[in-house]
Amino acid sequence: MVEESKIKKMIRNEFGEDPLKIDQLPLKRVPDYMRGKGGILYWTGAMISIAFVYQVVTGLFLLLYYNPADAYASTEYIINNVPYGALISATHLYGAYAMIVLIYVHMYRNYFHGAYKKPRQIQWITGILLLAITLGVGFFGYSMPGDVLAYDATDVGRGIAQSSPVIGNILVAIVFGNGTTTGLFQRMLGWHIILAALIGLIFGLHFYLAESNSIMPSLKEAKYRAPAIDKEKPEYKKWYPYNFAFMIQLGMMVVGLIILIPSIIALLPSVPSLFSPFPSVSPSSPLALYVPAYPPWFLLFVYKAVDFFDFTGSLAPLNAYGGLIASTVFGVIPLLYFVFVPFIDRSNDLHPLSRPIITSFGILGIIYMAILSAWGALTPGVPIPPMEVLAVLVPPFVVVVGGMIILSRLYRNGKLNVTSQKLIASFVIFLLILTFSMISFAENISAFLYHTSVLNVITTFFTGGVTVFAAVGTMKSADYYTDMERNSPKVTKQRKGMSVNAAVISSAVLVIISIAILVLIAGLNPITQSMVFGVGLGTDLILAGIVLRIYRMTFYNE
Amino acid sequence: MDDKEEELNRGRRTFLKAMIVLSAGVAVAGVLKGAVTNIITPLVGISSFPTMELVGADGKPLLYSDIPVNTPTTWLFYYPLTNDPNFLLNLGDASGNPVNVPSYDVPIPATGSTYKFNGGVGPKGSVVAYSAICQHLGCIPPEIHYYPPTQTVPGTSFSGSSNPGYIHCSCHGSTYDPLKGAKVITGPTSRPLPNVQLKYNSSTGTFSAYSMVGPTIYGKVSDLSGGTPYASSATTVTVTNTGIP
Repeated sequence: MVEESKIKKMIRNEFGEDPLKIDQLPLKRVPDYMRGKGGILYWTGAMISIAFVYQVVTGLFLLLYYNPADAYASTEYIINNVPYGALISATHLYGAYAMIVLIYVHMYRNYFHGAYKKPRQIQWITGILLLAITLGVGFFGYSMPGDVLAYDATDVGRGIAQSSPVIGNILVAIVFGNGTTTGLFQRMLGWHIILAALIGLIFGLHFYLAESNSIMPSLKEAKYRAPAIDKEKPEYKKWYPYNFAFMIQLGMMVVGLIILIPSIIALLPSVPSLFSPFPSVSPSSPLALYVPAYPPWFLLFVYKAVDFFDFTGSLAPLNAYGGLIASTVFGVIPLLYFVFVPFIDRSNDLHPLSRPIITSFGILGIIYMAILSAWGALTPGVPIPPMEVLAVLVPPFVVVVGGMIILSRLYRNGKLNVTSQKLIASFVIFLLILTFSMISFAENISAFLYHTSVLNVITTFFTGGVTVFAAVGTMKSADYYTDMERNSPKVTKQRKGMSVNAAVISSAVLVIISIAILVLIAGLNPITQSMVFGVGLGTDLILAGIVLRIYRMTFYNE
Repeated sequence: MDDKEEELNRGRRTFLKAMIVLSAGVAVAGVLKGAVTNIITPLVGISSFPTMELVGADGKPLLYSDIPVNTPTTWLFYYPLTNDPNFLLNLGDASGNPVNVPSYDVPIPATGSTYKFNGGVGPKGSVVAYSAICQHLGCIPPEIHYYPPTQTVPGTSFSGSSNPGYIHCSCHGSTYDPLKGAKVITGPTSRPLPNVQLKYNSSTGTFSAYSMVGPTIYGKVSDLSGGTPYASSATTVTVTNTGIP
């Protein structure tokens, strides 16, 4: 054992043992495999919280400059005149995107693992609530710049709210104010902040429950049976410093990526308007004519669904309710399904294959969302006749549900015997098929949407089916492989940390690089070059994460 | 304490608990009533349609000769409130001559009812004004746009002789016919554009807006509320040539 440093001794003499009472924090200790290779999936919730904190901090900065009485001009002012304003607003947008993507990853991961089962039902329901509120905050945030996309989005939102029976007008008055422009943006700013605060509140409960119920252990560990509880074992490492270091590392990486990605995108010569880190043109600009009326990408699927309810003939009066029907069928009902799934699927089985119908619904949720979003991006606002809607939505349903039932049979009869070589091979094959079929499916579907012919329908059917099959295959084989590797005996406890010398050299090099980057970016103009600054800042954060990773690898053996 | 007394006490205890829940419920109901009523923004608006003379950007009354036939750029004015954009159109035929727009019973597909559109005004009966907010999902100019006769309407089959001069919204493809009270030509909209009723004073050659007919302006409870009103002393409304072709 190395002798304790003088500073540490001094602190101990002055303040006593554990002066910050870190060891008494009510934070669960976790098994090593959760911090190891492939353990990142146990921390999707942590990553969301990190992104949320980033959002709160940058949001408060933006609040100092945003003016609801002159939304578009004040947004442009932030971007063009405030030092690092462009960076903060662009990363605030991408931080929201990161949060939403991570929430979906977190939700589906827990869904397929049956994490909603006993004892985590309430935890799951608060999670779904958090998803819904986050999408709401995202909607208001997206509308706040006051650009043409913001006006399109609020108009659509207002139309859908107003078409609700009985309470429509009251709903509009509550959500969007009384129709004056200042009132509108004042309201949206208000709701944006109120709902964000609500996220913080509900997240507190969600996190408390997560700690109390323990992080869900690996399915193998839980023997594929609910309740899956990770009982703290004596050999688990302490939360501090092991998990603490891991959390800091994760935080550096997540924030680094949130800053790095939009900064790089901002420097690209052209970006599709859906992913642009900056607002579009003002609604009164002549250029607004050429901006397709897109909602934010995370609501594209509902937007496309509105086009499915374009009624003709005697049903035409229902068109006034198209938006309402679409958001109910493709938004509210799936959300309610997720809220109630702990009470629908009451079995103790945690294996995805012992719950074929539940698992297929999850896969279908992902597929439908992807198809509808892509469809909405390719043909925004083009009405789709019901037969074409069915032609696109029914084949995945049949393939997935049928396929899952067959797989589930095989699994139950013990015929699904897989080795890791087979799995890797099938993963690669599936991935190749997926890539090609996605491209040809995208081509077919757009051809099919512009010009319907029997040939188009058949090819779209076929490529769509293959895509779905490949997607499922890729996912499943990847899932099995990580499961298998984690549990195969020869891998465990075999990995050695980096040699200390290598660690010293590599971290010194990384620190020198990051200091050089800091020196380089510090001299940049904070107004005109803030996105270049962002590239450097994001890189520095990631480098800091890597240095921490090297330390953990070397001294914690993780 | 004998069993009977205990039982009685238990009953009382349950009763007291119920009273706690009830009183708390009553208090929460009061709080909710206050909170919900508070967050419903009070409507602002006016009680009747104002009569407002149309003036140009220079403040001088707008004359018929100021409005080009077929209005190749978008002309807008805000009426009855300051945030309700309307198209001002001088409709013409393919060769650029103004056409007399007759009155028409405009059907509303959403309700099956009809309303009377009074036709065009001005020396040639060719000037009309319609709400410039699409009735489908509320897109505003330039996304909703007037395409003069024979011009190709992007994303549709209307071009050449099949376009007698349509208003089309590029957001979701709704098309309206301004020659027939902006009735619905293609969906997804199920309502025609509301019509601003104009009056022409032949002695002074000026136009004024005095009322609206047709469906309620998109996104509003009534035409007269849901926006910032003009000052009560205002008697004119400025028509702007946005310059957007």
